[in-house]
Amino acid sequence: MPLTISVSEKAANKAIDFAKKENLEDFGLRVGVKGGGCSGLTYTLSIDPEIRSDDKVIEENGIKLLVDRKSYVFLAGTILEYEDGLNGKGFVFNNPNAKTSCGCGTSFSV
Amino acid sequence: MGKSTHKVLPLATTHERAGAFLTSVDGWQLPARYSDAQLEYSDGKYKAALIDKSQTGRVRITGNDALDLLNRLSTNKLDNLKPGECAQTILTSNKGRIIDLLLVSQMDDSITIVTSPDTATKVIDWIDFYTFGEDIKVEDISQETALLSIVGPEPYASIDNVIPTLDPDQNIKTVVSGIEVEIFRTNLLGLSNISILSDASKVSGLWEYFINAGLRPMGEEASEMLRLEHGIPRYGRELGEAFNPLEAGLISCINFEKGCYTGQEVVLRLKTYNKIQKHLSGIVTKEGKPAIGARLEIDGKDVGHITSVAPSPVLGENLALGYVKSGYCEPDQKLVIRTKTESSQGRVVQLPL
Repeated sequence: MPLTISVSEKAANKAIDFAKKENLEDFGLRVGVKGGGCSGLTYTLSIDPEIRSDDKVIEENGIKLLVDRKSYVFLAGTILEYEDGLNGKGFVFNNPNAKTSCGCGTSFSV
Repeated sequence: MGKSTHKVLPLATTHERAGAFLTSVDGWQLPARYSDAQLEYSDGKYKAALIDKSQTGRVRITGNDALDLLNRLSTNKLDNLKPGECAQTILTSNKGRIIDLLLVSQMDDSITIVTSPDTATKVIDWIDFYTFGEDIKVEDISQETALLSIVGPEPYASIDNVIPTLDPDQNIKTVVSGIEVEIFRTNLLGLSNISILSDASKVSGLWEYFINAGLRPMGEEASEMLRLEHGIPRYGRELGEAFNPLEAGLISCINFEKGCYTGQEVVLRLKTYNKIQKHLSGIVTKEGKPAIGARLEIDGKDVGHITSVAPSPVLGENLALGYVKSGYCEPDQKLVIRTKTESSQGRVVQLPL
């Protein structure tokens, strides 16, 4: 199984919409992890105009995903999706490494 | 006979010269008592006494994201800690279990952390695991520093003008007797504790200075009497991953309004739905000294175990700490303390005494 990180078309389009509102043309979608949150590790997501030297860059559905090396270890295999509608959660990390997630879904443990 | 592998304090020679009787505690050679443990206890209980606590770990953290990261990983609210302030907080696992109880002190340009004995590496590894690109540098300074502690309710009456007066949860970086020190004051479970951190090579001058100022040195025996009478948990006995902060009686180190931190969901759920399974409790016994690990029973039912034991001068009897199942730990609850070979009667007492 290829351990990469992928982004659904819907999530990619949503991120591109956000970037356009910020008048950004050359940008990446930075996905990562930081310590904290109820389950110990919290997902991070931001529009970033800069690629860092230790970034892994994955291009899919018209967008560049930027992932730092340490976060990649915890996110390999993840699919970034977007759920909209009244009950939608917005961006969702479907991460096969996550053994448990907290109630609100923003943090996980491995 | 094999060579002793005990770890020794930077002041080991000073303690031996002072006539300290030594004891072995968790791999450390520590002063058990200097003269009379009762007198040492009495000063610590009613005035102030001096303890060498250099077996604790010390960690220095710098970087713009240091406080934010510590706030995300532990139970107390730290993100608004200002220079001159300190707080006690608990690193918890995602299951809400105790990694360690920390004293976090915000100095002008760095953070000083005091850990339990021998846990500095564990704490550093824990912080490192959860560091993802944050601006933070973590350094183990346990070897090059030493930590003295003045416990007791009247530290400033006992040694007037020797150190600056601090309120609980305050710190100061200053010079005492020509030696640079960081001083932190805490009041965990009602025990006033002034910690003085210095360079390990300078600590003998500091120790001598405090002794000459009138403080009596306190060894492990008296220190344990005080600790147990306050119900203060100790790493390896009452603190560790088998327990959560609510079970350990450390609710004062938890902020329930600060939002997410590792383990928060579990800790909050335990409190909200009153699901705390056991409580650290005081157990008094008239019949001998219960063994650590002895089981606690009520009507033949196992309800807990003993974790620490020391004489209690306040009660005039032996006092134990132990984890007792919820519902069986109300004051005056009678229980049987049982080992494989013997049993005795015990009674739950309200702490602190």
